Amino acid sequence: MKGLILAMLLLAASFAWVNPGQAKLLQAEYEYVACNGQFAHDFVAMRENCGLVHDAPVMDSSEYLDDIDGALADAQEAIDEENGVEYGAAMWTAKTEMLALTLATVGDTFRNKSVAFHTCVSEGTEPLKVELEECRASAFETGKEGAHEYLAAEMEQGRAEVAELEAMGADTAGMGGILAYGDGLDADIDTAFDSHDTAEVTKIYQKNNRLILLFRLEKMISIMDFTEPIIEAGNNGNKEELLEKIADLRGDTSELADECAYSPEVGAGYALKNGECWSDAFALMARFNSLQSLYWAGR
Amino acid sequence: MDTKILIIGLLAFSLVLFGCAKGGTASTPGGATSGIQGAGEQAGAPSTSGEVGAEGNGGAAEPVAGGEEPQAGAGAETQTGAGNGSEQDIGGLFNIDTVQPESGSGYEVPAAGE
Repeated sequence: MKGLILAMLLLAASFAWVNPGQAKLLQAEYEYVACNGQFAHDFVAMRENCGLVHDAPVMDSSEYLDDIDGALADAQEAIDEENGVEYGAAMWTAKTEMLALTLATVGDTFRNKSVAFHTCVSEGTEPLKVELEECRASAFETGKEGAHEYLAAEMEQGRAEVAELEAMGADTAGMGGILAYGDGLDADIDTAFDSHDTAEVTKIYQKNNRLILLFRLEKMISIMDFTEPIIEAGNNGNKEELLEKIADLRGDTSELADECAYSPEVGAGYALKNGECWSDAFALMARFNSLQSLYWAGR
Repeated sequence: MDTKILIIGLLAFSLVLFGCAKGGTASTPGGATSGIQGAGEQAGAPSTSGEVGAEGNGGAAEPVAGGEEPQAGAGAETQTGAGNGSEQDIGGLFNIDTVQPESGSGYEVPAAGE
């Protein structure tokens, strides 16, 4: 019976908080990719037209375009269903299909094409690029709004978690420090999106990624510091084991938080470091969450 | 499986979900658990509303009747804030969200032919 309740509890714990601003953030990304998809369609049509006009054989791109459209449809469906994993997979597919079409087009460029054909394609591409940039500008505007809303929701959630722990008497200084960095990140959003440079936009995501990781690590530290003396003074059946695990985990978590310290400057290797930090953090988070079952088992 | 166990299990699950929805955070299942146990094991446990003692939370918290673990932070309340006198088991605090944030993968998709 106790085991069944425990299983139910753990199942409920797996329902993670979903940022209410996520849908808009993803929708903006989708709009950006849809711009690229439309450009691919227009570019292929223009190129085929040049082939007809200048009597040059042009490859059949319909399968590539179908696959790109399919990936976009999957992405939209994932957004509607708030499924971040499916969305990421759809975007990966869109990226590979775009690259595949690009490579195939480059290869086709060297097959029986006249100078006139190349001139036609070159001249036809310019207005399409203007349309592409206009379309992307609109997507970046949506993205900017989405990023502000996403971060605001994240900060609100973070403040609520801080308030919750503070009300219990926990020291939340570490969590508060990360929230202060979040305020700074919000101020960077406009500049990044207004630059229309995906590299700058990606930096915002990378910094946000690091801050969320650090906030969770600091939260774990705060909770461990808070609960340790309570467990020590209590008589949980697993008290000794709990205290030993908390002490070990506390040290490892603090070490990782130092190792993954936040920097508002994003240089080369920042994303890679994020990946390493998250990888190590997942192991710590699993150890942290396992304390719950150990705690209840000792009650 | 015994029908009675299944019904009790589903009831417990519903209470847990209710706790999550009410609190709106990933760390509230413990609050719901307090409710479950409060109906049974912890019935009659003294209210521990009040300030956290300077000597430490463990010291300030009163032990639950029957030799149970002291409650997390005297007067702690994770659902609606301190002040209504309900208690919070610290076990529910050991719950951290493991879902990674958005990565901006859409902006990595190039435009073929650009």
